[in-house]
Amino acid sequence: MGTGSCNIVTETLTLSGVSKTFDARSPLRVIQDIDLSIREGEFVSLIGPSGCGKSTLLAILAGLLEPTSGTVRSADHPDKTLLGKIAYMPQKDLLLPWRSLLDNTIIGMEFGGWDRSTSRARALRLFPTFGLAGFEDYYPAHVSGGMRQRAAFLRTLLTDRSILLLDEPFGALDALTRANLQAWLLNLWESLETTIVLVTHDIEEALLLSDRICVMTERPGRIKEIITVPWDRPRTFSIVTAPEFTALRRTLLNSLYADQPFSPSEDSR
Amino acid sequence: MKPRTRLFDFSIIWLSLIGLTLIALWEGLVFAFDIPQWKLPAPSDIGVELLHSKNLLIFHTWVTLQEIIIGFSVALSTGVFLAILISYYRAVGRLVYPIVIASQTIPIIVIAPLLLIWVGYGLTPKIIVVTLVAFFPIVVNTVDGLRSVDLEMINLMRTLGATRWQIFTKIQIPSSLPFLFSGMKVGATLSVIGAVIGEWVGSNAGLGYLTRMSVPLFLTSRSFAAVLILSVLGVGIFLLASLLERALLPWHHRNNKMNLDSKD
Amino acid sequence: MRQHKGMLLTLLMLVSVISLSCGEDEVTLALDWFPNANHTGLYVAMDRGYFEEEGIELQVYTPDDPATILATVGADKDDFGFEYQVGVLLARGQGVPVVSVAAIVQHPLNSVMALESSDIKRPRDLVGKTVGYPGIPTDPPLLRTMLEADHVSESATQEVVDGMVNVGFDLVPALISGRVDAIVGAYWTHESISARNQGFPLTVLRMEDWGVPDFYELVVVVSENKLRNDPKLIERFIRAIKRGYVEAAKDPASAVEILLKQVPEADPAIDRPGSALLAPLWVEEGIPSFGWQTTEKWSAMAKWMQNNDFLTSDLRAADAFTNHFIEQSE
Repeated sequence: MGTGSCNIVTETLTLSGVSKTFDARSPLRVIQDIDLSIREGEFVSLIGPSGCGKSTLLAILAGLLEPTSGTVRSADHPDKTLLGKIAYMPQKDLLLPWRSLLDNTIIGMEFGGWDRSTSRARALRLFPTFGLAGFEDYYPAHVSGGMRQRAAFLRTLLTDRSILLLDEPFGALDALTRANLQAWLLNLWESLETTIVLVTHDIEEALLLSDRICVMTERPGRIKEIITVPWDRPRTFSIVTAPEFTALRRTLLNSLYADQPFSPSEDSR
Repeated sequence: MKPRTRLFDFSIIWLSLIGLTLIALWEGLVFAFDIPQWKLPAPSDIGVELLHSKNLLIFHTWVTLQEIIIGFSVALSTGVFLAILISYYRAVGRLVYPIVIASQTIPIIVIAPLLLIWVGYGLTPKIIVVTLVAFFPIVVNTVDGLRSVDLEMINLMRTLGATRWQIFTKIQIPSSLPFLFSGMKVGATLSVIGAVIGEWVGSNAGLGYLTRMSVPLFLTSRSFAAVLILSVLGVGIFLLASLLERALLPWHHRNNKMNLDSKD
Repeated sequence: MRQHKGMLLTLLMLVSVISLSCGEDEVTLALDWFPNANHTGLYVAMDRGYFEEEGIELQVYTPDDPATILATVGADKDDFGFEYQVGVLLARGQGVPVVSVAAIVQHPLNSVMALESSDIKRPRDLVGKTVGYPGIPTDPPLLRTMLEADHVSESATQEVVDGMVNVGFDLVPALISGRVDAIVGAYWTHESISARNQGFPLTVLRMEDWGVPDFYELVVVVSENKLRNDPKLIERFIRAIKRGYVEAAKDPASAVEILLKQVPEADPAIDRPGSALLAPLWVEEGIPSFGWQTTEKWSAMAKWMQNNDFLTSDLRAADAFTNHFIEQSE
């Protein structure tokens, strides 16, 4: 378990020496020298303390920010910018309040030139899978937070991108709903063929869902360690109670809090 | 989970009770102190005038109403057009917006007589005054509304592949509608005052003209009656705009919001 | 509320009348318009201290809406007012208790005017033309009377009167710009001079030449209340102002310079010729004194107003004025 890239099969997204400095009153270097290769169909998590730049990194991957130095190369789109080619799901659901749930999910397709009725039909077929059946015509304000997140996820998915970036998608939800959605995502992802990069605060979430976990340092964020999650797929939620899970969680905790003066002990969680 | 809309609150009943009490008090004061009509008409005097001069009042109300409706329509279209122009074409906006603001600093009292000389008499100068007065809140509010979209939202849409125009039409414009309606409500009520001011100089008809004429003739009851009608017009227009808002923006009305985060 | 203020003010004035020996009275005078040649005598009296001699500290102002003067005087909010005779009758018709105590201008100044270059030389030339007026409700009937005096048919008269346009108080610009063919409601001692100064001499049709009863253009009004309770104050005021106008009538040229000195925003090019024209109307040959009013003139005007539905028939014109104070000030 060390840093460095692994050379297996097709690499779909490669980051080389990516750094980002924001020109505020005094320059703020947020991330530094990120080297990362993400494989096709992989589920990678980014985890780290607050301010380590994970969201910035995700924004760069989404094409919303340019790195100050270094490159991001996509195998599918070698020459063009990544903006609009990679699916991005921010922390807030950002559903449009004036559109029904159904019309919210199809907005990506509308931008792409699809006509409304085809888009609606396609989205509607997936509503049961996303637990939204029967709520197509409801406004976002009238449904629960969990449903809004699922609708946002569906919106992201319907854009048919091969790479999905998820920025703490379940952060705003309560623990029970979160667990619910984690299980649901786990289940769903197995049937999808996308690459997912997930940013999260939740150690268990990372362990449950990912193939690899990149641990980041404090600002300026570097990749401290990349941990491979060894369990087979398909996984079920029950893995969280297995002893291997607890062991790996300990490792991950230590890695995260190695430099901290007061590191939490595993018992007090 | 069907949302319920309550159009009539119990506050309407309270309002009516308070209103009736005030009117009774007013009537009593005039009676007790024997106040002559030319100083302060009693509500009963105003009521009599309303009945007695019904046709006259209806005629003049219709004139003013025309000025309000046409003027406000022009204000609405001009206002929205300008707001879109200012927001979408930034360079143009930097030129146009200050001019729009400056237009409001010119006192209408000064402009109205000049309008007569430039444009002539009839409905046109009054409509111009109404437009001048009403378009400003519409522009300002709509521009604010178009700018009110979070950067996060815009970024998200960009990742979904939206062009600048698509973001403007599908995100910014719908976002701005609640703001537009705020501006409309203010503008609509200002239209009433605008029509009266426009009629102050150079008119032969309308409620503003009527109030003006009634002063030298000491027909104070008539002035009050006209003012009462103007108030009713103002409130009515405001209510109309509010109803329209509720109808067109069902997702926005606060009463309909329900928080169901506990359920799924 | 106003009733309370009125009572308080009356009380204050009663107290001040009783303590007359202790210093000056503060007196307000509301002017019919911004200070102009019509007010020359007033400013002479102020400048030469005639009011102070009578123990009066005079505050002069022009209200935003001159139409309110009769109401403020009637309610004792203002002590004195300059007003139009027509207005006094209208007010009394509505129960406003005001009385005229002196006539400042003995004859009408209100006239019909048109560009000299036009072909309007008499009322009947107005048929088919547009006439502008300042929105004062008595102007259309005055025009009607003039048309009738020139034997214009009923239908043509009605057409002209119906087609009158309210141009506000900017009468001369409306006329010069051609927006209207003629104007009424302007003074032949003011607007005609103004237009001539701008290069547009005007034809003037005087009202009293065309069937309108000769009326007083400007009078001094007080409330009935003051008549009853403080006639001494009125006497003193009239004495002072009469001196001012008599001296102004004797030497209008010097008098107007006093006006212009005190009122820098006045237009000398209008007020200098204006005061010369007005002087014979302040102190006229053949009347007993400045400020004199006759029952004939008041009754004739009242009758005209009754015929034009401005008044009901039970108004006693004689109650609207008094010469008492003019007589007292001999």
